[in-house]
Amino acid sequence: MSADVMPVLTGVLKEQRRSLLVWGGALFAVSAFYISFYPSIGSSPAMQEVIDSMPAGVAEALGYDQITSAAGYVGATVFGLLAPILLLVFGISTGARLIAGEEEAGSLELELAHPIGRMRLVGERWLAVAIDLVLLVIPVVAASLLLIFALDLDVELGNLLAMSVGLLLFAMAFGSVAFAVGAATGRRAVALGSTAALAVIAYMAHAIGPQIQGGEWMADLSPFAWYLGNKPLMNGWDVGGVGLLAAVVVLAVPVALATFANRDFGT
Amino acid sequence: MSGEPALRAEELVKDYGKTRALSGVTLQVEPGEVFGFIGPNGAGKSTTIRIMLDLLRPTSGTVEVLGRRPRKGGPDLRRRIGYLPGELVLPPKRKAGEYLAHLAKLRAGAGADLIEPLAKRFGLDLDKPIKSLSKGNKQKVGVTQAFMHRPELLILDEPTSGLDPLLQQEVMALVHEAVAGGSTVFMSSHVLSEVEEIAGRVGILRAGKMVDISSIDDLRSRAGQWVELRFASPVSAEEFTRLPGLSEVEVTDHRVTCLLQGEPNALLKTAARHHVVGWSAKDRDLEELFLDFYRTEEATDVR
Repeated sequence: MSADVMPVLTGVLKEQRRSLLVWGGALFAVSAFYISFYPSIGSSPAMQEVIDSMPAGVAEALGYDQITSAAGYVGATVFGLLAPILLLVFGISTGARLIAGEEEAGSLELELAHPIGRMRLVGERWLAVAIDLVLLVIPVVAASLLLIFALDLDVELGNLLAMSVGLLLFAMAFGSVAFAVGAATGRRAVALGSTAALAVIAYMAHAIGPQIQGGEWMADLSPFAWYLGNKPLMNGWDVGGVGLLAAVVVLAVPVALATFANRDFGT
Repeated sequence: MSGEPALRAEELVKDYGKTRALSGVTLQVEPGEVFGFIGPNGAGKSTTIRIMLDLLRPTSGTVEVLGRRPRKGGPDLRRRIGYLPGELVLPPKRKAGEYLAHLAKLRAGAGADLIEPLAKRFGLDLDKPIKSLSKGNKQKVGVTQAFMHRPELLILDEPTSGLDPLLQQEVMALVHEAVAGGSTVFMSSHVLSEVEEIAGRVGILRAGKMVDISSIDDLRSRAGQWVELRFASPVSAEEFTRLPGLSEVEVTDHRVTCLLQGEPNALLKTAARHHVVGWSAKDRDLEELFLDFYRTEEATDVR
């Protein structure tokens, strides 16, 4: 992946250096911070009492029903809430910016007037979103590994891998949708707004759906459930969920390629 | 490739939704020419130019750039073009030199060797982040990337806007050098005076339509001269208002002022019948002629 093979991609990554470093550092710190509290909070009998006092549905929706085990705690806090929300914010905003945002700002015009095909430009810029997210999942996994060993937590490494791949695909699914909407419309606000709304609806469907009588089907449609529903950190790979998340990415990318290649740029 | 026009547009139409931005632009630019593309803001200059770069797709009509359709020509065609956007926006966080090097990479390295010499010539600090550069310095970055790979065709959208007169001269010198090296230059401006010195021909665009294409020499002769004649004794206005090629004749006692377009023969013969004590003739500013195009067009619109 030398600079001459994918110049658009390397250009984007160079520009993001500093911001990636900040995000990566923050994700590592927050993840490590939360896991380090497990011995004093998660595994204490007081915590179990708090969970028992919660309505069963709520505790389950938040993934707290298994929180007293190490895998349950890490799965519910770091992988169930913090990392997915932060990566969602990063993925959606970056996805919306790398085509639509820069198009609206005007800074993409020169690149596109160079000898780079439209498909190639979109492809390399999508790859930048994907690589960004890989680079940001790594500190979450690194912090988890570090503390699993340091605190001797009972988490299976195979399950950690399954959970991490799920997290990556989850963020990539939303990032790719924002990217595709931006590539199709050239409007950053539309890409940002529609994808963020989708994420909120998906979260509600996952958290509230199962509590409504006859609403269990809602969770089946939510990427949150595809990612978290099976509790991969405790139960391992959820092939169906991972497959559905990957399918969103696989569908979004060709939409971005085809729509961007066939429209007016920067109007 | 010889004999093929560098640029050709035929009946080019572009609609944005229900708004018609271009309504049938036809023009042709020969290889080695400097063509000035003149029109007020909003006339459709940038729209025409952005179609040539395949940033926009025409609603109807055809465009050929270096003999190829912009869309079909794709990256291979754009390799041969240098483009300076009218509204230049550069990524603010990157350093000027780093960004220019990035753009050279998009051209497989072409032009990288000229970044430093051009920056030196323009007095551009390559180590500064773009956001800290003045508008003029940003324009230098834009000019550098358009010229550095020595393209066959330069498409410059308002290249001298925002530059001080000294830098304007420097950009014009670059255009001269490019043309001497065999390049074709298509440059837009909203004022004729900016391209007057350098362009062989100009096309005048108004509200999405070409209203005139002529050589600068032709424009000059059509622009005419302001003539003033002073006589020893009063003359009658009637004698002069009837003459061909004269307009805006004003006679005050001993003095006649008029706008002469075409041959001065009739005017001189008529004047010679009297005792002429003084005379002056001054070329009319081309900008005035340019404004004429809009005035007359507006008049026809009203009808």
